[in-house]
Amino acid sequence: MRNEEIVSDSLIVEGVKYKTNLTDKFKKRKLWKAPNQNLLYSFMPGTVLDVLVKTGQTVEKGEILLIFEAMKMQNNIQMPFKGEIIRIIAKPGDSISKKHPLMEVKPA
Amino acid sequence: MSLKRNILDLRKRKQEVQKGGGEEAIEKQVQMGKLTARERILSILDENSFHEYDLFVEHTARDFGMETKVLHGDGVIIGTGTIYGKPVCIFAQDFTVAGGSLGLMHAQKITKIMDHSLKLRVPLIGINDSGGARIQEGVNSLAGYGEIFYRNTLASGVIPQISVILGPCAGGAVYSPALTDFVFVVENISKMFITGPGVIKSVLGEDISMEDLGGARVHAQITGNAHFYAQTEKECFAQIKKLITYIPWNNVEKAQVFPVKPPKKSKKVERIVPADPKLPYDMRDVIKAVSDGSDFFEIMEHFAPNIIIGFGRMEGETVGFVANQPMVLAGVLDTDSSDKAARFIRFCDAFNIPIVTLEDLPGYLPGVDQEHAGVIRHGAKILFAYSEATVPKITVILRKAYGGGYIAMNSRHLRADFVFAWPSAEIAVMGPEGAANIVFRKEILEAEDHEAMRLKKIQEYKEKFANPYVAAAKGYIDEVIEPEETRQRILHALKISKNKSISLPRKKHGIPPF
Repeated sequence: MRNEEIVSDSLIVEGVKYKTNLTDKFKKRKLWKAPNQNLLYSFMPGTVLDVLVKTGQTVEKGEILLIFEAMKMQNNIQMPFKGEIIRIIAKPGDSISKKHPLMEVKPA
Repeated sequence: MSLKRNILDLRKRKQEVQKGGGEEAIEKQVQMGKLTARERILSILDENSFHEYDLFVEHTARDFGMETKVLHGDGVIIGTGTIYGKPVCIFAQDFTVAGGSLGLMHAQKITKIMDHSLKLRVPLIGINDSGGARIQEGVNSLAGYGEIFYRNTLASGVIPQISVILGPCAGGAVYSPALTDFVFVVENISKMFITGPGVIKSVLGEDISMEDLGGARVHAQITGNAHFYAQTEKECFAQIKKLITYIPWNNVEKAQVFPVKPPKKSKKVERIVPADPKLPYDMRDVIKAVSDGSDFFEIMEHFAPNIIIGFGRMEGETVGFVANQPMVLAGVLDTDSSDKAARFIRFCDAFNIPIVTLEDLPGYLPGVDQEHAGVIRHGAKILFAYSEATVPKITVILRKAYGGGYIAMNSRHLRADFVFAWPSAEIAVMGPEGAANIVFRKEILEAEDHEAMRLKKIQEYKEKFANPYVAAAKGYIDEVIEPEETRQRILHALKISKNKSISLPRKKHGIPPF
């Protein structure tokens, strides 16, 4: 059996294309997308207990935006930079999954 | 008055306890396609060699109505026996008794046999089949697990520890197999996870079956928690017995020597490897062309298939093989393959097994996912493992050995004892295509026909650097050999390395990039 028959794909390493097989894990890998810096995502599944700001409000860096309950702990989600609240996506009582957008903000 | 009455009473008691959870529970076990704990032990060990201890141990729990519950053997069977005539310690959790759940006395039985295996210096085989901690015994269950994990750690590197997952192994319990050297799983029967599907569904809303979450295939292919994967329990036991023949009984002994068998004539090593370095081949064919009888016992076959690890024999003695697999992902190193190889190298080093490395790789797997997954940190593990290994280390470079990959795959610099290279070897800081672009950048840009100049420069670089002679001129490799000489060279190197003795700087232990 010729070697070319035992493989079905190719992989480029440092500019060279090698005839080889790819693993399922490799084919299923998530391709990186630059994250939107203005969207605040949940870091873990949980429940939104309370939202402490309003749309249009100007907020200082470090101020608490919402209280998020996850793994039996209350987590304070803080404002990453001084700016304005553009859009509140999550409401109190919402059950949120992982990497779910909670709020949209804009730097001042 | 004879002791007859006592003897008959003993037999009656034994018979009662050996029933385990009773007919109904045993029937359920059979319906799940599983063997009973006692059947499993008797299948693995030599016939009539099993001696059981602590048969009459009873639990001491008094809360939640436990006073009235009779749990035979407290859900676990421990004992000693032989495999191919050599002694082992073994325990098997009994799912028919309270779901094999672990309570204080159950754990005490396991720790007793673990203590035996460590002080008697014999391998430990643990068959896991348990619903987890016995909730009724509360913190005593946790204490039990803790005592087991500590002993797994202390025994690590002293005696081989084997875990066989023949049922659920969930929550904290799963850390014991994780600490052992080899984990065996069986399709549809093994289940390993920290948090089960039920909790995951209620807390995260993710709906996943037990099999997809932590079934045998998942651990054999994706997580790398399992080293051997079988379709049936019977196949699994055959794998365990085969593994036992390759490994020593403890860390001061060497594995059993077998009669020498030359490789099968059908595998001519020269014909297996294509001249064009971009074309693949199955590296296992090269291993089989070189090993005794062309036998190769592969470990973790389904995980990180771009690197191959496993045991073979060279002149009758066990040897650990580590080899890049050009047929998968071009044989690159990445996070998973680095983990896979590094742990195997540590096992070989701990148990006096020489390591033979066959090299043909273009470098590391590119990609943001790899970088973010820590390919740096994981890649460093293989460097650490090879550097610290003091067993005889022999490397053969077949084709590509570029950059960091060249260093990582047991180069002379990591103190390989003998490094051989085929005439097709390309030992260079980078492949010709990549290197020419950088080194001859100016010439290429200034040329009228960029592409023609680039191809010319690639050819120049290839002739000058992509060969084994530059490294040979510096003594970085010991010898350039013809492919057909490979087995003989390795045999000779192993023979003269038999009494190798080097010492590392005195320290409590290094700090590998965990």
